[in-house]
Amino acid sequence: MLQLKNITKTFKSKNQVVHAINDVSLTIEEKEIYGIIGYSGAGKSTLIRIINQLEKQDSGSVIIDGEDISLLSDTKLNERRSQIGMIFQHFHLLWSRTIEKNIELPLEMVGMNKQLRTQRVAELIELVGLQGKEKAYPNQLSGGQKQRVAIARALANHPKILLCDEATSALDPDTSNSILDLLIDINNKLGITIVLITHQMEVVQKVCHKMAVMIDGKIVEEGSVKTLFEEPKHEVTKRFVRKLSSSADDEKLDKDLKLIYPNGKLLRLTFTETIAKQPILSNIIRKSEVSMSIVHANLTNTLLSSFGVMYVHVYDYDESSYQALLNLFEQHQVSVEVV
Amino acid sequence: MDIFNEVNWDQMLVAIEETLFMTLVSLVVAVCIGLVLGIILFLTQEKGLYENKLVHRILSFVVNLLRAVPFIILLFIISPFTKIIVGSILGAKAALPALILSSAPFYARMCMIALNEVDKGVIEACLAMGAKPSQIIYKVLLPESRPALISSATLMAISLVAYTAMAGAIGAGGLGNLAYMYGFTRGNDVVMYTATFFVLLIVFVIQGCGDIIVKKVDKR
Repeated sequence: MLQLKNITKTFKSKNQVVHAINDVSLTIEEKEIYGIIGYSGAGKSTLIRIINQLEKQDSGSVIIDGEDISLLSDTKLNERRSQIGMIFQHFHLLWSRTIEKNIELPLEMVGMNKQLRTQRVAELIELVGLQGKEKAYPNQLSGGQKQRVAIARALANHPKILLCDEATSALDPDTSNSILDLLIDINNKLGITIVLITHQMEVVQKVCHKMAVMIDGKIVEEGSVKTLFEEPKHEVTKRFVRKLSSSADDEKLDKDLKLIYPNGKLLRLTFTETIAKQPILSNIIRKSEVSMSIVHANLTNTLLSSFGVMYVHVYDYDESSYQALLNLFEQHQVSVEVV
Repeated sequence: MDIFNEVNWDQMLVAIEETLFMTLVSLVVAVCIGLVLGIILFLTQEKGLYENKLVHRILSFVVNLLRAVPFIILLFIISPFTKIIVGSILGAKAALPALILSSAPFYARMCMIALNEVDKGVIEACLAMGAKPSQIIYKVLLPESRPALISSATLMAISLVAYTAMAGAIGAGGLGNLAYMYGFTRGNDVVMYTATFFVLLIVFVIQGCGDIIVKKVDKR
């Protein structure tokens, strides 16, 4: 069991004091995958580094299996650290060592003999699926493969805890998924507690059992992933959840809207980039005799353009004015679909 | 080929040997001393693994001071000291203390720069593994900065060749001595240019070797 109790940490620079961590307490059970989500600057990087004491907290304690590791001597702390694996956003492999030598490094650090080291490296290579790449150098590998090497290296000394610092943020979605699958696999097979920090809700949703939401150095909401997804309480949690569901398929939306508006017609209007900036809708409403109301709209703004989809509910009309309306849309180059 | 009759080839060979001796010995010693000083500078700097402002400032000051003294002046200034440890202020051996004293600080500074260029994240990753500082130095910092360390050593070897010529002009022997004493002062252009040719040859060979080794060890 891993417990953080009342952790605070401030960074002082010339003219300001930053409260990176502000009285954070967490309990992470054994074999759990625990995600801490937050925007950049929320303090999550600092928090995860306090767990293995790469950063020392100003006050509070870090208790792993009943032992406060922040009170240990350097020698003892180094021993404990070898029991806590860590992986990073940018992998941090040694370019001067081959893949197998990279994985061997933590074993050398604890003074294991050569024969056992070779044996263990072979096991780890197999675990992360990098057979055949033993003699390659990191710069010959893809990002996903590098992260696999980093995972193998982190697991070398049979740690009980694996810390993941934005481990998939530098990878494309497919590779990211395969790394997350590997983490789930490791958690199942080896029973390792995994603590991960991320700014991507997809990551938490896919792999975590429990999660915490962090803002400005504080944990604002914590609980099982299911609960937080179903009933987010804090505004930021809601925002994270919403961001995830906005990409959910349109079919569901169509269905939902139809249930709400069983009468009249539902039209899906698609505005393309070039016309989205013009007052098309007000023109059309002025000219048309059909009553309509906007029931759903989604406008996406990028740096240089905006385009969007809008659902309107039309009711109280006769056939000719409805046709006139469709013509008007066509004139304005808005594409119309009847839902 | 008659013009080369003016060159005393035995003398030329001895001079080449002396230049190589001075360059290589001072290079090896300066690299060793410079590495140690550079590592200390690296470790004691602000936010270093063994941050120590006092040690860092003193060492930094000494290093800068020695680098600031022009080599030709350093030769004179330390001649009493040279006499005590070498027994003479003439000859190739007598040039070694000054050569080392001027190049070791240079290498110390280059070494610190090279070590600082090692990815901080890699060091962090190794600390997270529970690595001791000594392990970080031997297993991480030195191997990861090898290309920079080697190219700095190449650079230094070349400036050492130039320094040996300077030292040679005031009695340390070698190609510089030959070019100056037997070439320039006696108006023997052939000797002067031949000696210069060998200096250039040595420089090109050093640069070539340095480049090849760097290319070989750099797996980035």
